[in-house]
Amino acid sequence: MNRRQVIQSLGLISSHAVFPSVLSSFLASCQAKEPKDYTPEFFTDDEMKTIIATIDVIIPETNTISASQVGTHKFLDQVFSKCLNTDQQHVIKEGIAQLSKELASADDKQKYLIDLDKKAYSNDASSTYFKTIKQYTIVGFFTSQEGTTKASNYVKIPEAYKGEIPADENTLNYGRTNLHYYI
Amino acid sequence: MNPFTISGKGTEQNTYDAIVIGSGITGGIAAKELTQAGLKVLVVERGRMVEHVKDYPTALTDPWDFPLRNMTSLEEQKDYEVQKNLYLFGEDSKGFLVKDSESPYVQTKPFNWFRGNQVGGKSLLWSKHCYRLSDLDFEANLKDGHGVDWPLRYKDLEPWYEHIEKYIGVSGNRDGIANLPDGNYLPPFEMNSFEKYLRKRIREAYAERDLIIGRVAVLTQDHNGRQRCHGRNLCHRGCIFGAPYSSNAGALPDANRTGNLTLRPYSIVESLIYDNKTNKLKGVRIIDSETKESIEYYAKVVFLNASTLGSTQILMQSKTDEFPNGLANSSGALGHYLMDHHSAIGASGMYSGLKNSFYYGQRPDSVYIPRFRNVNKTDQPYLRGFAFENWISKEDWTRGFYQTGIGADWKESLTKPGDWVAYFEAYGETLPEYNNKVTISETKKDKWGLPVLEIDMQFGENEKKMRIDMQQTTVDMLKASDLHSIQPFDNAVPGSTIHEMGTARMGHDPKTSVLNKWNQSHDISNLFVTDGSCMPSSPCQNPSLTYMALTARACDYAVKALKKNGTL
Repeated sequence: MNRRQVIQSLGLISSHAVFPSVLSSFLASCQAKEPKDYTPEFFTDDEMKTIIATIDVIIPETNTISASQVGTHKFLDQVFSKCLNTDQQHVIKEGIAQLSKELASADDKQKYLIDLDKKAYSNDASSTYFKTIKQYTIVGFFTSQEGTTKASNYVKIPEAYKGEIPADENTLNYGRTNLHYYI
Repeated sequence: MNPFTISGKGTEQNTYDAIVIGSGITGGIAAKELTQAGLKVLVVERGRMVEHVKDYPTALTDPWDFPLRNMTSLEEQKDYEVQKNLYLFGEDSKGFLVKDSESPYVQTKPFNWFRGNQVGGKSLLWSKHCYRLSDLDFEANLKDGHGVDWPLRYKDLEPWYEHIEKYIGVSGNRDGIANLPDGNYLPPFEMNSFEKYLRKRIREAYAERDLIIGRVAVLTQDHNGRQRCHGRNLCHRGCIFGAPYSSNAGALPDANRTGNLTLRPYSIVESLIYDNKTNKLKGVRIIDSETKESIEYYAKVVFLNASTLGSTQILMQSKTDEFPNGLANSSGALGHYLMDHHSAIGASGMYSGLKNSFYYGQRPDSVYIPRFRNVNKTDQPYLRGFAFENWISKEDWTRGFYQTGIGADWKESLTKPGDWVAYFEAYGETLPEYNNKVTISETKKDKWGLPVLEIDMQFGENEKKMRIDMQQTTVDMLKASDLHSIQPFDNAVPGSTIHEMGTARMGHDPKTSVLNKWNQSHDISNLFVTDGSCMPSSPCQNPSLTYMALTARACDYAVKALKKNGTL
């Protein structure tokens, strides 16, 4: 089978220009339909507010929308609920309690988080939870549809690999498709 | 390909010319070679059916359509206690990996046994690197006295390497390196600018070393009905183009096309059926994992291709009064001399230059540094040697995990490629040791009532000495190439390279080996074992190409003998 036949055999109408978008709407296997009203599994409503405020300072709206606008807070809720063990969850919970308090009383919230980030990367044990939140926020944003297709250059079917092409300071990286992370 | 189940129990309708046990990378080749030679072949596979394209549910899934973005929940991981350690384990690939909860084994010492029990086996997940062995490798056991002599040499296998390369399609460059013989190649993948830089620097610094493009069974042009690579590097999800070679995309459909193939998934081998009057196998007894029925199938010849440890396990659980220590084990060598490449050692480094050069798409191939130690003379305090697989890319947003920064500017910086990253990983040969072994448990059984495997392996003194050099050599090469942020790593658990070899080794002498030079049992003439279990040593090249070449060669021998004598 050639590429056209492969695509046709998958029930797709092959029109090169619309190929990626047709494909993405076609995929039956992994339609992650998000409920309209999301009920958190891990965070309380108050914690969710703190998380939304925090991740939007980590990844604010720029040329592309912000972390919470792509639903990263819901992703964090799911990951922390399903992928962290009880000890890790406890560290996050304690951290958010501290974060909520200090963020509320901070005059300059952005400066507070910048300092917290620096502390977290200087192996300060009391702020490692922030590192975890930041790392999963990065994953949540950059693997979202916005992060993959707008904050990155998403080429679903590159057609053929080329070893060398020119790049400049405006060249976007490719949307990451090989989703194995080492956090 | 339409698998069908035969429920009839009559001897006649359950009789074939040949039975192949296993449908992975060697079972597929055996099925193809035997059916194309005109034999009626039954392939029994313990796992489910995986049909090319149709059964690749995540092949085209976008990142955002994985609810946990390809991570798995702790709840789900409980079923994959070992498999979750695999570097490519994720929501996208777990369908091609066995559930440990359903397939237990005993780790007498830590051993990661990665398994893909489905039609196609691990050929759906392999790294696809294809390197020929040379006489440096075939003569090593004889020369230094570790292990038994290989009963064949490069000239015996050379035409079969050629045969397999032409069939599966291997992209690569003819580099003219004596201990890594050139093969029959499709055009190589292109190197990126940083790889070319590294090649130049390494050649300048070390006369005896070279950095070449990986030779991989991924098509760079359409070949034998399969499509060329489209640059996604998502082979492990199943490729709709069939560009990476797998049994599912290649040998099984081709075998099916002959009209001589019967493929029977959900068939767990209970035992081989031995006839002490003729001293031959009558066939195989399977358990249908769906109906729980026990069914016998008969054939003139049996090819055992159930994976390195799977094949040995089947021989052990088929023991008889004549062979109380495992079928075809008069030598006592069965289960012993288990090897795996010792890898997960090397270093990563970064390079800030070549900023105006990038690559396009994702390449399912690394660059490779062939073995350069102990080649023309013994020049090290250890025996044998190692080679490198080097993965090169530009940093992406994951670099944000490890650096301070938040906010708009930082976010924008993560949308751009960062520095070049070089990840050099060495793969070392392991000496064959009697004490590295598998046995079957006398007490523990799986849900089919079959004894579970006990694996007892550790790396030895030679490997430890070699690893010191592997580590140092890597750091030296990265320094010589002016890389920054060099970080060594070292973390080897036996089994993790998924190059497990040995436990039913070939050899000249029936007293010390299980198989002869045709991969035929010394004890039982109509039994052939042609997967990784046959290996008398573990040369540092990725081994699958050699298994496939040995399989095709053994099939040719068996077919000729059958046609000439009507029996084996």
